[in-house]
Amino acid sequence: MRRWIIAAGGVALVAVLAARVITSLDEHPGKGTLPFLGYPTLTGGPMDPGRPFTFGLVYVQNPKVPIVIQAVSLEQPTDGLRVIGAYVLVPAENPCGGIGLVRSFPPERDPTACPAGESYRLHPLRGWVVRPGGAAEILLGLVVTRPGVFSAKGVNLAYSVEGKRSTVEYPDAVTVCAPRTEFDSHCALLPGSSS
Amino acid sequence: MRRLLAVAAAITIAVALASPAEAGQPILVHGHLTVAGSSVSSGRVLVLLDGALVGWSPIGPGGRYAVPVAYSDAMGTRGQENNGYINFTLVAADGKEWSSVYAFSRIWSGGGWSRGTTPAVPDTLDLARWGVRSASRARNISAITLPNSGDSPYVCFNTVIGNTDAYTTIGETHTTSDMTEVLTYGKTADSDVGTGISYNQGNTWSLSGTVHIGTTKAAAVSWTRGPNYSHRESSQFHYTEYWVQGTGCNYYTIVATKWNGGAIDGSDVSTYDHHCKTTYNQWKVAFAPHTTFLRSTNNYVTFTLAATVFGWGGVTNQSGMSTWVQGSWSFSQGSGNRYLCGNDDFPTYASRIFAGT
Repeated sequence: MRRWIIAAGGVALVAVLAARVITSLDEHPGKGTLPFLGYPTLTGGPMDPGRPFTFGLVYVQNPKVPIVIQAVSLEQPTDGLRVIGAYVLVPAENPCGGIGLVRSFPPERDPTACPAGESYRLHPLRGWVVRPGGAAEILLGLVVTRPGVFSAKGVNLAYSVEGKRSTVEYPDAVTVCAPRTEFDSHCALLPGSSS
Repeated sequence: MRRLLAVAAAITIAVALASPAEAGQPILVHGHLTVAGSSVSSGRVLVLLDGALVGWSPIGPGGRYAVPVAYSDAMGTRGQENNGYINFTLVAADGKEWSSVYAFSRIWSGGGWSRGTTPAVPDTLDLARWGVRSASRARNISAITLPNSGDSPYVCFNTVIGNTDAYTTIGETHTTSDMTEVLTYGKTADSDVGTGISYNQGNTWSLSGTVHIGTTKAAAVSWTRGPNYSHRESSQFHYTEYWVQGTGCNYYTIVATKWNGGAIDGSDVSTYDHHCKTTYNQWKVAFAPHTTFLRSTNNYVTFTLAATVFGWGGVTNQSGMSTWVQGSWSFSQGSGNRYLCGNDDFPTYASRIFAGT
């Protein structure tokens, strides 16, 4: 009987301690640094093969601790849709606003958005630090290499916290049809849309 | 003997470290009560499910309360009919002169209760703000005989005063030139509709919590709206007015009970548009000709004055709280960019999205 009680007590303690350890593991520096990545979006349109375009809408904002951006990539891109570059755009220093989807990369000056003649102020992506309270929009330069319909399910952001590397997937999908002459007004790009 | 004591101590520590859900019934709702900012020092909190008392808590130090409620098959049935959510009523009294009724929703998952994505019960529930001053009412609530564990006696009884259908705002469309928006609601979207409470036989009403209305068993409705069209959009809900009577209850309430479907246009909200380059400049984004943008949200803005029901115009509604409302924009300009902007954040995070510079 006494052995059974000892065993039961031991099991209870192990269970509780295990729960505590798991809890503490959940609180490691990289976990939950970017707890909310925005609502799911799907952006797209017709593009021409070989002509770069800019896809924005991926925001790194208000991390719990300073993070260092390392790289971006597309999640499950269709063959023929490639990332050719990426920049950081800091909303606080940029009166032109952000980018959804435009047909140039880097994004050309937009006279409507930037009436004073400013250009988008861009920063290299790798090594850019976003601090608590700060924000950065990630601008991806994309290109399609041939005619067709292309898509990616999201955007992966690799970053580091105190030297530890983590990756998060933003739920921002993109769909592209090429060439424009064939798809300009009927690029059926919104799977899941009821339109 | 010493070893036995050590084991007993270990088990005691283990139990003490365990969560409330492990130690007993899972906590359904907790917080603390105040009256005009001062903590309540006596009284009790009851939780009702359609008038049946399913849990209660005394008021502890600092006005704190935590109501444990065991999950039951009856609750499971209600959840199945409402996309998992169960609508409860909290009745709180200080035992002296103040009491309050507050509607809220919970979902059972993983062996415990959570609010899911429904609005939170205020952590501090001030009876002077949410309730009514009546010594007899407060004393009656505190005098209710509490049942033995497992029993759920009916302490309040609902008498239907009336039923009505009312178009209720579920979302809004915002377009400027060269834009089309498709707003989709239902099937993938629920609503949390504000509950009206009256302590004077329906003469005056106030908002006191929400009920969750699931829509998964119905077809979706959508609005396709062309350029320069910015309106609230409404769908029809069924509302019932009850007179709730019993030992601890004497109030009227208006609750949404079902989504009927339907899609009509509401009031013009175009005054929010054409400000993407000024008021909302920091949240604006550009879209090239013939591109599209779709966003799903499960945390839509709460619309005040969402409906007028039984003469009460205070109904609020927040759509998409458990799943998703979708808005998709198409940009048809010949050249140049068009703009969307969030009201309080970037468009991928914002509670509302406006259009145009």
